[in-house]
Amino acid sequence: MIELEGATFRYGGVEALTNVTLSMEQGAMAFLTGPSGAGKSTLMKLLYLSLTPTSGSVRLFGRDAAKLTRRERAHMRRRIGVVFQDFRLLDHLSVLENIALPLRIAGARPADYASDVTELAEWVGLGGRLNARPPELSGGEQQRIAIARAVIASPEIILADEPTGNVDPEIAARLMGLLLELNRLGKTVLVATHDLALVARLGAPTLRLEGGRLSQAGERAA
Amino acid sequence: MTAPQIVLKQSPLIPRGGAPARLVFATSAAMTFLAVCALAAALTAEKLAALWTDQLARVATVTAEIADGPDARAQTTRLLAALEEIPGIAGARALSESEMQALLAPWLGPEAPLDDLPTPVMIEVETGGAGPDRAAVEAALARIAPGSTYDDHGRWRDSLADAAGTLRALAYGALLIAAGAAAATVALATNAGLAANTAIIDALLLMGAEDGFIARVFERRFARRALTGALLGLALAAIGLWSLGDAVSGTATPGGLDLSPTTRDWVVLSLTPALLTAVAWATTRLSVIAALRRRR
Repeated sequence: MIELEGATFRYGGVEALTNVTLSMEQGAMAFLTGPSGAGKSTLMKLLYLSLTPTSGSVRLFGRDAAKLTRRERAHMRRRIGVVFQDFRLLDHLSVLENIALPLRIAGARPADYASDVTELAEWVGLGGRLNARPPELSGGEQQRIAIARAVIASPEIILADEPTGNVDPEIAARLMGLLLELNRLGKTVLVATHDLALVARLGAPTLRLEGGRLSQAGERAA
Repeated sequence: MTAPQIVLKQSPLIPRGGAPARLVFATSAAMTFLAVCALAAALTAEKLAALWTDQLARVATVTAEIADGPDARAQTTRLLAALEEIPGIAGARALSESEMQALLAPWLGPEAPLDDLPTPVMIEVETGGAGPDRAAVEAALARIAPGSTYDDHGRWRDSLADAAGTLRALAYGALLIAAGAAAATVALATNAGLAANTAIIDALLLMGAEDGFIARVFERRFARRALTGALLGLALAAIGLWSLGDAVSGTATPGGLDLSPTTRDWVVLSLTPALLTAVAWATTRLSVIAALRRRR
């Protein structure tokens, strides 16, 4: 489902990722750890098709990402739910509208998804702030919107870049529980995080990036 | 008991307002105003030209060389009778002395001594159908009053038709320029709108939005602004045209023509906002898709 083969990425002359080879089967879950600047976000960007490798390849769902047309890339992105590190919320939309965005983009009718969106918003603890705008909310609340938005359309792959960085331990545990639950339902989940304690507690396979290199290159995530 | 239905709003995906949208509104209003005025001027000129050419087509003039003398009146009568016999001539009459006086007044003054001047006899010929055969008229003139001339006003009719054609071309040119200026402004505004909303567009693309989806977001915004601006421009132009119509309608115009726009004219003029809106819509779509293709 996710395959990187010798993927290298350079920002100008600086190599952020070097020769990364990685494979995750459908339904796998893994944590991606490493210090700041190790290349975690760059690897995530390659996976959610924001960047194209300078050399090597990224294959998703059996397709080489570099060979997709614009339309195909858009449709593939709909199969990937992303919790961005900087959330990427639309500040002028309400909590509900932000969570519903992937469904709106996919062309679903509001009447068909309104109750699902509300239920998920309540589940992530935003039931009392459904019509609030992101700037009115705390960082943790914004992060919860980002997580809810990433999973609302039931994507096949979930990529989360530091999804618990701004939330308290109780919410962090709930959110990780949600990701584990989605993984149990067959979703492929990759979580980039600094939180080694959380990783240890959940016990999923760990991929470690250091200086742009995977310390266990070629590891197959379970 | 059924659960209460949840209503989920669908707010615009780019924030309302902003300078680009206001620019589209203002330009659309100004361009529509100018285009409607230019079109109205062309329609009026065409109407005027049609009336005048029609009037000129129905009347011809004979300048009859009839020497003063006891036989002059009989010769004039013979000439009138001969003219009236020619197919295509409905009637002919010599201008009266007072009509001649009025005709020459601008050059000779109202008290001109016509009896002392060698003035020709002016004959007004009313034509019908396709008009008379010019050769037959000239033969009659040569037979009864040699040296007389026949003027069917063709030269004036052609000039008026040329002038109306030029005005029409100018109006369409103005319309094209207005549409071009509106398109340029909308393209500029679209690019400014894209630049101002880069973060939103990136987020939408990363969530799987296609170029057409993002284009529609901007199309709705700018086409609506262009339409409201164009309707304002049309309303302002309409007020001006109504005022002008009141000022020049009725007997004030040559031939008593009412120059205010007709219902058909209003239908034509009302299409201008639709045209400007269509231009804005197409320009926005093309600009957004071109801009998105320049990025990944």
